[in-house]
Amino acid sequence: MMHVIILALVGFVGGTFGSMVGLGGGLFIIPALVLFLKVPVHNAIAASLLGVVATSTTASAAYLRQDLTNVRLGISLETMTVSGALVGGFVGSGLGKSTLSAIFGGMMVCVAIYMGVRQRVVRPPVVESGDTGLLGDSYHDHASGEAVGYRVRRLPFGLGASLVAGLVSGLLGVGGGFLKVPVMVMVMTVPVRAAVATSSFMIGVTACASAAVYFTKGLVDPVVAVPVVLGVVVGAYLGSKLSLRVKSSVLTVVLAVVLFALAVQMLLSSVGISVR
Amino acid sequence: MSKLNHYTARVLTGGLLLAVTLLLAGIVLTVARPGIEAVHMASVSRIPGDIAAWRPGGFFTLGLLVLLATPILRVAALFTGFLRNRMWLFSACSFLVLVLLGLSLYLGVAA
Repeated sequence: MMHVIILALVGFVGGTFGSMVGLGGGLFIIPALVLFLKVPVHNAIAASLLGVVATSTTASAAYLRQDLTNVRLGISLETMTVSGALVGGFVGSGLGKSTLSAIFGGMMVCVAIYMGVRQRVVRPPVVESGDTGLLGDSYHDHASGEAVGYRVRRLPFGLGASLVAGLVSGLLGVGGGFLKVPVMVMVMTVPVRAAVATSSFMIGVTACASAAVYFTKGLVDPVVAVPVVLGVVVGAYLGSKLSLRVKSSVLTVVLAVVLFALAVQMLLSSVGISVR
Repeated sequence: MSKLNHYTARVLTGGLLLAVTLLLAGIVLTVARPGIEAVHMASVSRIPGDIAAWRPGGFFTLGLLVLLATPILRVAALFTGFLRNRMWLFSACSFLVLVLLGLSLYLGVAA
């Protein structure tokens, strides 16, 4: 019973933080399951992918109601993301535990460093709400009380990054949001709140393609996946409500620290060194 | 776009609520039948038998499948929404995503 509660708690934390910064929570869920709960890595990835689907579904429903999500941009990038996830899902299920841990740990170090310096992102240029182009959009910013319009730039780069994000998703059981959000913000000049909402929208489909492969290979353990998913749903609902109140900069720094610590543990475990 | 956003949100919420209901039903059945053996592999073929016999495993697997199907339904909803709004490029993108998701499932089953 305690095991089930801890699994749900892992999902809750992953879902809460993930929904607030546009991630699926897999970057927290997988190391927590593997390192602390000794879940076999392929079962952990399968549970994480389902958790990412749950985060995306819960958070994006809330963000869609607030008209924060750019569905045109999201569906455009999804064509590349799903393609990458399709390939990654097959490659990842055939890789060994140490290889997966090493890849995952290395990626998490990069993510943690990026999130730690996230405040240096460039502000997107201000555009009139009616001049947003084919993929741009506008939304009401509750903090300032104003309508924020933006255009989407450098789409080819964004499509390429989405392909990579999908590949990583399939390999590592994450949603790829850790790559999608910075690319949308720093390269495609999408405002942070819209990028978080759009990433939350996309990662569910990204994870779905990979999760289907793990499901059909018999790697979904309901004893692990069900508590994680239920915890994620509660956390993601709470996170989507909190996201409008908490400064994302504070949350990002906290998450960066936690991710860095987990990344170090994953890298050490990939070479056979246990820190527990 | 706001109407399309809200329609899509309803599709996501509906799928999520159904999935959560099935998972919670499985948990209730697990608690109500102490000592029942836990199933460690989700199996689609066992769903009808498990549901008919009120075994939690079937509810868990079906709930997870519904959860997995929800983003796919979301893409289908967008496809019809873009078509209705005559946004041909984005309806084509939606259709492509549906095809790729279907291919993913087919290849997974075939493997």
